[in-house]
Amino acid sequence: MVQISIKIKCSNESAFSVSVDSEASTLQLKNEISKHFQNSSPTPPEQQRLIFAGKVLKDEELLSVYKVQDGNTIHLVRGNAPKATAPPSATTPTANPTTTPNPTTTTANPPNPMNMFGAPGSVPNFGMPSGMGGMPGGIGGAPNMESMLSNPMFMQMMSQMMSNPQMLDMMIQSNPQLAATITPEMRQHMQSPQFQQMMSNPEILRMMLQMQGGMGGMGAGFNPTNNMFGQPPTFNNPYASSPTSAPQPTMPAFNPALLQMMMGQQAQPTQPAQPPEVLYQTQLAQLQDMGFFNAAENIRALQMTGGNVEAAVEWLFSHPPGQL
Amino acid sequence: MDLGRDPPSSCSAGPVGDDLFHWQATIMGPSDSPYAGGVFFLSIHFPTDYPFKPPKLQFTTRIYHPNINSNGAICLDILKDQWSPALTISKVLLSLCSLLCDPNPDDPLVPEIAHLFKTDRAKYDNTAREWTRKYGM
Repeated sequence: MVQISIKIKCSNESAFSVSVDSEASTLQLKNEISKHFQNSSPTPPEQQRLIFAGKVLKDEELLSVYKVQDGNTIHLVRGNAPKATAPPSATTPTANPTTTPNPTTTTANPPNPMNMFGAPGSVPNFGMPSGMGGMPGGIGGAPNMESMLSNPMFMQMMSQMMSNPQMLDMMIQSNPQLAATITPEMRQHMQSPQFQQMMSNPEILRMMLQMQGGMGGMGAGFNPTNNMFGQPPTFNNPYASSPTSAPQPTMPAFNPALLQMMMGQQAQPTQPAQPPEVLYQTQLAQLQDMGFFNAAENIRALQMTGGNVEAAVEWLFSHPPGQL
Repeated sequence: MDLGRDPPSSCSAGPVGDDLFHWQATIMGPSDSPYAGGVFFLSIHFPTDYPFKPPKLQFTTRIYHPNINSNGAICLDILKDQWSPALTISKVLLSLCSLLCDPNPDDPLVPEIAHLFKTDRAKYDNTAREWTRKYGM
């Protein structure tokens, strides 16, 4: 039987040493500590919380389980007699090692999304006819969206909303446009874990936004054969990263336009499907005047940049024909 | 750095299991703060390129603080752009302790709490104490 000496540090900076058997349990250590305190301030074991290497030592466990060794320091926090139900976070720190970005799994007891804003006044806005657009600033432009995406609170709200069928229904019903767009199958899909995972992943949302931006100026809509993104694989990423690849028929549910509508934003007026030569007539003429004579490349550049001549020029310079 | 033998008086940390890239830590609420008496748990993830990249720290205990949100995310400069490879985990945890004592309401993660901290300090202290009692004891 080996005796080990353990330094006990209290929260008030005082420290002392106790020696226990190397095979002792936490409770035995606590009893030793009680002896130390019996003359000054009685501290029965149930009022002691011992912490070592970031873990609270459980009474029934052996010190060796926590790899407490001779000369180590253990922190003592004095508390009131523990309640019948200790807070989950305090009792099961090891059982909760999740640090995934998905907020629903990290919070032991997810707060009501309504409470998160503190001010009750902000609640009526939530999920009302304007949908998410009712939130301060709305989700109009990408920059706003960006900042919202980086707000974990928003992400949590989002995922809770998605997992709550009533909330979803309410949102859909409150927005006729949405009601017309979302078929029951889509709705079902929106509640699938994959979709929720996607919605709770800021990276993917961001990617979808970027895709949407790329599509904004393209009257003809998304044409995968167009190689619009330069690197087609980026489009596939959202699905590739979901654990089980989504079957093709469900793809429309990931349509960025739908995402936009879900956000309660007014749907963009759909541009008539004109050929790009007509759509970008003026820009094409400008490019011609500037000395870019390759019409096919010009159209391509304008499509890439949504009709922005300056950006198209930049694109043309950075992508000389024949290099792609 | 020897957290086992000579840890800072208000925090401790160690690997969760055999995975040395995943640690957990505790911070004892500083006595001169409304978090006194509470024990707050954090999870620490070391990136593979640590110490060239900062470790990822996250509170797993809920805490009422202008710079810590309900997911436990922490807004602290040294965990982001001010990270230095010379910083150790005990230094980071000590910085967190001082963040508990002195919140930074001008760079808030939870604007509502920051606002209350600035306008009604007593109410903020009370709420923080209540949360500490509820989640940290």
